[in-house]
Amino acid sequence: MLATVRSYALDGLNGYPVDIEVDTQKGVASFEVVGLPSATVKEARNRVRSAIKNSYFDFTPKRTTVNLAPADMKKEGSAFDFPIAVAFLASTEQISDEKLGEYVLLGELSLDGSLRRINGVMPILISALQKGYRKFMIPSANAAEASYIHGIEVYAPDNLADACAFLGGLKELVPVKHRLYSSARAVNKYDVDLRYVKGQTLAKRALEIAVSGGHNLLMCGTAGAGKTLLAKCIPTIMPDMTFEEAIETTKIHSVAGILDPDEGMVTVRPFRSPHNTASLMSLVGGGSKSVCGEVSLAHNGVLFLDEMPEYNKKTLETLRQPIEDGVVTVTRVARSIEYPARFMLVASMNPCPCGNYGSRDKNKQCTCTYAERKRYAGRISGPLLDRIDLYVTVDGVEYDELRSAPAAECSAEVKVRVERARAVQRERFAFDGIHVNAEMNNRLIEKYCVLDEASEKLLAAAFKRYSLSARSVTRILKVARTVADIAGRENISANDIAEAVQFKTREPGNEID
Amino acid sequence: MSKGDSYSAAEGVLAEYRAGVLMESEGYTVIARNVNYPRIGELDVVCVRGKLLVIVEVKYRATDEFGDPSEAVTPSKIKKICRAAEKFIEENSLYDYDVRFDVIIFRDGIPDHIEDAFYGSWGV
Repeated sequence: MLATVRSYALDGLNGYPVDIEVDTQKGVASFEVVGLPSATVKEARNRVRSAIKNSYFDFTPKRTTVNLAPADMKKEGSAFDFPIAVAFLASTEQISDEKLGEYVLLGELSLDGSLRRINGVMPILISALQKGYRKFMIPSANAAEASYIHGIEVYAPDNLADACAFLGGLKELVPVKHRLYSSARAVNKYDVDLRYVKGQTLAKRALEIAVSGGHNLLMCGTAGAGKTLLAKCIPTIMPDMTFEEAIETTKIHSVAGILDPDEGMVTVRPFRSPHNTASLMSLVGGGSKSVCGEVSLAHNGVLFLDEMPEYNKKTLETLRQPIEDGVVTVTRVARSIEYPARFMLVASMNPCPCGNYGSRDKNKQCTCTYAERKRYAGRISGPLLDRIDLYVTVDGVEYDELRSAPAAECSAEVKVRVERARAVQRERFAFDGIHVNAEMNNRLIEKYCVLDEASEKLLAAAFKRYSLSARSVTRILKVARTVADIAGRENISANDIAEAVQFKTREPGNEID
Repeated sequence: MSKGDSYSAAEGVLAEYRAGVLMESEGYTVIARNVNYPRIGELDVVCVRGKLLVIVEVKYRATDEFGDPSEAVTPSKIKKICRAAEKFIEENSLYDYDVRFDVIIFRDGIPDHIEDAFYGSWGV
């Protein structure tokens, strides 16, 4: 007999429906899975057989064919175990197929018949909802993910027997309760705070500007000065994620399988810091399965590259396009997938190979030659440096500063100012289709970065003095706009320009003493 | 096998006979024994119960010298049994039956009945 069960599969972040047809005939016992299954899907039959037997159903040998339609898409993952088992039971008439058509079934089976957690439930539910599916059955371990999506009815049974009893009307299951995003929102889940960063006033100011306007930041400083600690504080001053942002990030994390099973949602902005041995594929995504990389995992958050010159040069250069576009298209022979990758790039580096150049400590003076310093700084290419709006030198702190300085401003206070600056930008760009100053194009710069006479003069002088490029000037204007927004000024003043200029011109290797 | 091959072969025939008796005692009806299709394969015991056709492969070993007897049912052996079973079903028009493959193992003369021991196509 034939039975059909509806399931769902993922192609990148978008799902497509998969019909699972199971046909059982009399004849020499066999169990074949067709429809371009991957090894994981083929192995389903072993799990299905054991799960059915251990759930006290009958697995009398039949000539069984399982078809996964559409047959021309490669099926990955273990989410088909559960629907295959249910379809088998329906086709051998052990459960009624009356209610089967109403549900989309997803889940991996354990040998004892219980349902195991699978990856990618959130994006599947969202795209299935868009296609008009309303009722789902998923493993109970995935219930948290499903609870944030409204307009659907999700049942999360613990095991195959419960699911079948429910489908047969023998047992009632309670649909997964909807949760509100606000209830899950992070109150303070960060274990760092700007308050604990002593001194570093200039660097903190740079962080605030960078976060307010979505600018990229490069911190340059001696070893142990606190660059990493500062970077870790960035998420604490970033504005709270909106529900849409949280959904976007959760989708990616769900597919990557790094979602917290209890939370079910990414409520804290991601802070990704891949080690400098990171491969090209791990950073931008790829492989035969076109999986997403670190740039996508950092979507709506921070991508922190510690010791930037130590990264493989080729790897770094691949970041140029995602920084600019905010998306990565991972193209392989089999398929091409677009992953969002709108992140804030924060990088850190030493000023020279020995790490002491520019140190205030008399005993720790730089021993590198001019050429060595130049070569070190040159490992980061010009085009990449050009995409960074703010350079800040992080000096080591003095002992007095470290031990006795009064408690600094805490992250929450800075965050208030950031939120205010972002609100100004949201209002300004309401009809321009962008969110932050960093995304302005030349037309918008012309429109929103109007300079008065004094600031015009200052910029002209800076242009001459530092031999700025045309692109650097636009970057300076954007940063100046952000500085003015933080201060709540309508127009850019000469002070704002001055601050932007000094953050832009301190780039590594650019020795201006 | 110090006692000589002829003795083992005799024991093998005895084991197949005893397997048939065991199946009858479990309520099956033996319909064929030692079905041999040259170059295709052979079936030791064939029996039915209701609408279920059971093909039994009998394995015996005098000693454990050559490993557990159940290991003697290799993928190539399974393939041969399946082909022979298809042929048997065809010849006797048994299309209306579910087909199950069992293995009965004799270890030191003690039978062990493994129901549903293998599948025709499982991609072993």
